[in-house]
Amino acid sequence: MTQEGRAATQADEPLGVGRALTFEELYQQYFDFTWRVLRNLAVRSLALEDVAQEVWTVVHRRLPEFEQRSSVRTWLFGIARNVARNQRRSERRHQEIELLPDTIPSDDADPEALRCSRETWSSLIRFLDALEEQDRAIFVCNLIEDLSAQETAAAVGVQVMIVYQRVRTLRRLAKDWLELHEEGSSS
Amino acid sequence: MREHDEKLSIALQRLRDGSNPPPAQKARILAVLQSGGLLASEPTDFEPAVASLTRSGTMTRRVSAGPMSTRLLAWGGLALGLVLFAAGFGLGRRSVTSSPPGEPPDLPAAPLVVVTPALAVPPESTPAARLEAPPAELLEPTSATAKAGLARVARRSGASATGRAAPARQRPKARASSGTSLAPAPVTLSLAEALQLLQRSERAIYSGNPVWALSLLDELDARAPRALLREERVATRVLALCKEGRAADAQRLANEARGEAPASIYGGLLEGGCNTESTGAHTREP
Repeated sequence: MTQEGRAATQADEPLGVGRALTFEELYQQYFDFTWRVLRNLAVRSLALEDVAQEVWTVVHRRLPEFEQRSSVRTWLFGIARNVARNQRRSERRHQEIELLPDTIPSDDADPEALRCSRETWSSLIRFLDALEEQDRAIFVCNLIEDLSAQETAAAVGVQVMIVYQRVRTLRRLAKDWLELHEEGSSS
Repeated sequence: MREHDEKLSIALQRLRDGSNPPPAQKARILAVLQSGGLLASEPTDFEPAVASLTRSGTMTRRVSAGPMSTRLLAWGGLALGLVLFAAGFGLGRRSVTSSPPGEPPDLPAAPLVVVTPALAVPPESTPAARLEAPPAELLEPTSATAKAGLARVARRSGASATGRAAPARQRPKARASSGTSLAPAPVTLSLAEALQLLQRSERAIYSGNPVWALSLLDELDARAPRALLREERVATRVLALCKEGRAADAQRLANEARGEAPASIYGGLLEGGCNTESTGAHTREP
């Protein structure tokens, strides 16, 4: 099976089921996931590389303990969240200024569409910044990374019902937020 | 509302697609992990050890690594540090690892290792610095609600909205201004504060104190942007009015709200007014 084929298969079923996980496999398949999680959990762009390195150092250290009782993404999310939290604490001590991510993704050729999507995207980043840490983790886990409610509950450490309720609230809040900023920029 | 559903979906998709790392960075981190002996050694002994260099050798940090190689590197680094310290000490008892501001310019250049503050700040003219600047429309909104929203975000992140993308050279100035400001706090509530106030209001209703609930809602209306938690606020107010026995007022408000947001998730509550079983129709926020 090709690398791509294997990755596609593993996206649907937990990696390493029935056999030992290797660090390299995890890294190749899930590095992007941890990077996105860190980024959306408010790790500053300029610190991302170092924080990601720390995450994967922890992953390597704890891999022998991983018993696959949770999904790989749930496990990785928990590690990334802890490292991001420590990093933020450390930064708070040093009074670093938080910056917006340095790239704004867009495939819009139309400048007006690009401007609108940039504003929407920036608004959503600010919305994330306004959330409490746990709500932000739920938002990132469930709404951005598409983990199931069960996985989100396990990753964040809350009950599944709480995830359902908060996701619904967060979705509403995000829409209100976008509406609010749209009003602000259009008036 | 449907339009905002789509916008949210698009923004979420962008966050998903656009937050991936550049392949070069992914490869570089793997290389750093491997060069630190991490992947070569069995995960049996993980002593925190060595400083590995990232970002072109400009920043030191701790990495778990194989014991033997890391110890050698650690001792080598320690020895080098001692030599450099001695050299610096002999050349005028100056620090060899950093250059404090205001230090005389006649430092000896060759033997010193300067730990560049890689995370400090990119040059002002780099593309990254330009991209990190929020859009001008968001920095200088014309409406009061948008200004209030930005003020709240700035307050939460500990920096002024216009100072978020400020280069390092301007940072001390920004800190000084925020540190000396004794102006009254902005009246706008943050999202979390608004949510908290709403929850307090709900608790007051369920504990049989609708008057208190209404006064909390009044405070919320006065201090939060209009669009923030709007439907939740209206639904809670309807409940409070019902609980207080003001069914006509509750019904009038519910009718207005239904006209404003026909697809509201609180439609059942608004439609039934005071006849609705409140705990079932009104989802309690966590």
